Amino acid sequence: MGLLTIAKTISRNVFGGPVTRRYPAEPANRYDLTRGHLAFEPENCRVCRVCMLRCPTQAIVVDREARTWECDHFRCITCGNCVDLCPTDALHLEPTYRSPEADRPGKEFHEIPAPPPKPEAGGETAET
Amino acid sequence: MSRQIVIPFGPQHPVLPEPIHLDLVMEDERVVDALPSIGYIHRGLEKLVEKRDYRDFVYIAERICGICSFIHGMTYCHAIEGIMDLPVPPRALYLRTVWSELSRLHSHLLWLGLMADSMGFESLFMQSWRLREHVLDDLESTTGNRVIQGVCKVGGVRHDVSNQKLNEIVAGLEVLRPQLEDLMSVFVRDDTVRHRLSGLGVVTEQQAWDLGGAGPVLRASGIANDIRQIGYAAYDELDFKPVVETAGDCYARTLVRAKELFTSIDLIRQAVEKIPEGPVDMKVTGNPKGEFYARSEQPRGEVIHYVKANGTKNLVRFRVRTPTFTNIAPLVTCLKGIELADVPVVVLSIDPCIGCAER
Amino acid sequence: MRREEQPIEVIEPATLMDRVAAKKIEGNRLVAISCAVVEGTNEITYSFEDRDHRFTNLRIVVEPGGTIPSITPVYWGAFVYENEIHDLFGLIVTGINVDFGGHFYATKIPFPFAAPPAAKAPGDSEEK
Repeated sequence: MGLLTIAKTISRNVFGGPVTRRYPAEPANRYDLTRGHLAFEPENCRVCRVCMLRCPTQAIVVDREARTWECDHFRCITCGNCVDLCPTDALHLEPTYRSPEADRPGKEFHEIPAPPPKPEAGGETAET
Repeated sequence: MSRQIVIPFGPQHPVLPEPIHLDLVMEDERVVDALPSIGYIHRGLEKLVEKRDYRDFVYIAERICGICSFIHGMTYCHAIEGIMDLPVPPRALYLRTVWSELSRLHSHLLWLGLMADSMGFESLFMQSWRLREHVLDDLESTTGNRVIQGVCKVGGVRHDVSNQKLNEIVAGLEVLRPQLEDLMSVFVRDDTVRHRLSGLGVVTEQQAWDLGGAGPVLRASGIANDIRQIGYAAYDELDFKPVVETAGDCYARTLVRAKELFTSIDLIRQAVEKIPEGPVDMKVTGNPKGEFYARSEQPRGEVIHYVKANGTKNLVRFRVRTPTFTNIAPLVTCLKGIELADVPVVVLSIDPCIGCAER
Repeated sequence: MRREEQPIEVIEPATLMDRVAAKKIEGNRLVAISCAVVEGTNEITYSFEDRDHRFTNLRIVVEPGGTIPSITPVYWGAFVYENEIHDLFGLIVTGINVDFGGHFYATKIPFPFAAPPAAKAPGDSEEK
């Protein structure tokens, strides 16, 4: 060990720049597959309730008669089971995280619009 | 005759990643006996299996632990596939192997950092975790999450990884290799680390075998037992040797885990060279009936998922026996005779993952 | 992928200590002790592994609330499993070397796994 070794270390530290990411000034890496939060499109939903029946944490509650869909995001573990099982692609996972909350917020609530009646069949019901 | 006092260790302690309680019976500064007490994070996950469809339960099984979560999910899927005798596509088996080894890399780097922190060597802790970020980036870009991957399902895996991406992962790990060797040289050759860890918490070979040690605790005492040799997933087509040390003390356990980093990099390279083309999942119909013991090598040792099913979509019994649970007995034995200041180092050297131990 | 053989042998509880001692002499290590509630009875399975990774099991069937002898005189490290079986299933294990007397697992309701799976036991609605 001598002056040369410590000189190399010092110059690497002074001129090398930081070796870690300056988070949060520099945003974190996010990839396409990152499971951030759940997003729902009510216009594609046909109220089959598979997402409610197969959610591992029972975070989604769907009411068939009232045609409502709600999700407790604090219970959701973003596993993506509902996304895989939804037959009409009404659910998908976004790569960004929701912002932190101080109190437990209410659930995300949607009313699902009734589908337009088909002219030849004389009105199609929404039931599967 | 010195007086004996009882000092409680835990459940909150800076060195413990999860809460465990030990009552240390002390004479002056030496530990005479240690009584463990667990149950601080018992969540009853094994009972939840009676209420969830067996295909959805994989998301709960992998949340038994955050650090070793992929291997829990994979072992559960392996258990269900063993009962139903499903022909899982080979590409899925190879992908599971690659992710298991990435999971082992990040877990060992995490542990090396915690070990350095428990000795007070904080800058080494930060360097280990900085190298771990590279592995976590690989996991996030291929599975979607850094620690709880959620990519295993009954019958295969949920996402495919392109061959080009797999080659990029191998190339990135080869760039990481000299930095890991630098890190390992500090653990192996630094005087303070050797002085702190050598001769501490010795578990002899006979004790490790009889008391039920698992994983690096067994391998550091001279027994070449690595459950990857039984050939689950794609391990029967890959070539590796278990890393064995003979001293049985904390230093030997550190060496075993540091050398296993390089075994993992070699296994990933071999798996990516041999991975076949094909689908990555298969359609699963019907319900399981029967029982199966699925065994895997987690970073901490041997984990067993015992699944019993009776033909309905809820399982009858799901039992997880994790390596930390069975390493409690060697821990209590090797704590006898050491000084109070060394207790955190010895407790950390078995790699306690109490979330796994208690489910 | 190789599928390993896992022979399970059902034995009488009276012969348990002799068979376990024989396994120890043959050089097996104790891998796990599992307990399952099947149709109202408890099935306790002792799993062993030898140096060549051969995996064998011994199984006994016990009525709920029954008594089993401890194998800790043969395998010292079995006390963790036997305390767990007592705390979760309510079976009585006689002669454990380190007996926690029911305080190994501090649960809110005693013997949470002892109820048969068909009945809904109170307080087990754990969601993660």
